[in-house]
Amino acid sequence: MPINVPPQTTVSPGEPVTAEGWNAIVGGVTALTQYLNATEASGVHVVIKNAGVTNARVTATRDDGVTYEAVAPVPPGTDFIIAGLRPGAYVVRVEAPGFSTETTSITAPIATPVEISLQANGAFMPELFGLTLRAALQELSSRKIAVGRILDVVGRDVPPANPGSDYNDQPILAHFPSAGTAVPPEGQVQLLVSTALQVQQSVEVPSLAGLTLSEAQKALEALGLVLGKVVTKT
Amino acid sequence: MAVNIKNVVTKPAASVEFVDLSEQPAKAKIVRQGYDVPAVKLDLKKVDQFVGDLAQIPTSQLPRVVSQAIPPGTKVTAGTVVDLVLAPRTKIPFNVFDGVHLDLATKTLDSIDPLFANAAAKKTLQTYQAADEVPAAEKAALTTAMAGVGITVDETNPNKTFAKAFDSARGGLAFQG
Repeated sequence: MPINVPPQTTVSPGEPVTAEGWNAIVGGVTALTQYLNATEASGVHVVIKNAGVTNARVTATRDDGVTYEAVAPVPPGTDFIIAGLRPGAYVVRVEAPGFSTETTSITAPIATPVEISLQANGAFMPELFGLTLRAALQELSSRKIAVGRILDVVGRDVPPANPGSDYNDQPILAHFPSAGTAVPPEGQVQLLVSTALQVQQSVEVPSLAGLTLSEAQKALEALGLVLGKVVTKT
Repeated sequence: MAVNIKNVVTKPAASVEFVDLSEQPAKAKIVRQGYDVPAVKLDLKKVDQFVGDLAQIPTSQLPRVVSQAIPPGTKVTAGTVVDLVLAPRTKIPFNVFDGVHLDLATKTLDSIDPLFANAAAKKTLQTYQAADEVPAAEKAALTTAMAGVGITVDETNPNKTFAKAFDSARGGLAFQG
């Protein structure tokens, strides 16, 4: 709705404000109020039908290329609102991570909310922290998320296709991207997995002084040690 | 049929596992200092006769460990190799022990063999880990036996105490048997 600008009448110092001038001011304020009310009422509401999609970007592009961006919903509201649209044709575009971009044509003003359903594109990263590597890989596989690289805590590369028995039951310590992040179909994720500690048996070397060679050898072998070079002095 | 060898591609060999299906058993090739040790044919009867005429070396005369490459108490992983140095008992002096009794300082380990021939004295040395654990009666008997091999106990001389004599004799015991 266009604003009708009232007649511009200037007043010099000491001159009274005429009834005509005053009425012009009142008329202008009234017209402005009506315009603002009409603008708010004419805002285009966009509803994304997919649950939980709040990080979308919603825009409306006019025929002449001017684009307006929607205000994201503030809970408990769920509508994206594009305010201030002049009457006319627009293309509403909705982009959200993990979904294909959707567009629809509208003509403003429009009384009913524009409802848009997004098509999933890729998958969302699940929470893998603490899962065993085997379970994490199964979870990712079920979501068709490819694993690009796995490192263990000491920086060794672990082959994603065949991590090996040493790693299968080790817990995931971190993953990239974080849980809930959209992973496009061509995307790959990275995992950090714990490492099984290789416990080497520690042996305390015994005193062998006074033993014969065969006694010393038995004593060493009983502890898992190995008799090395033997020098016999006379 | 003609063969076009221009299209032949040579690929690197994969790892190869050898499986020995021959009926011949594996033969050892023994090498010493880089040279084969000749295989010697022995007359087993004569060897038996020769060996039967030899006297067996008593265990007490076998060389004993006097040094080891890794000190006792060192923590190592299983499979660690320990080198040894051995020497005959008759040449090992008592002064290789810490705090040896003064009467043994210049003697070799075999010098107190008669003490170990005394069953009661040997049992006392084997039974108690420290001198202060020895009961009075056994202490007196051991003191007498040690005097018989030249070890005199003098509690007024810090280098000739019963404790020093006991510890030195127990050290010698480790090289016995």
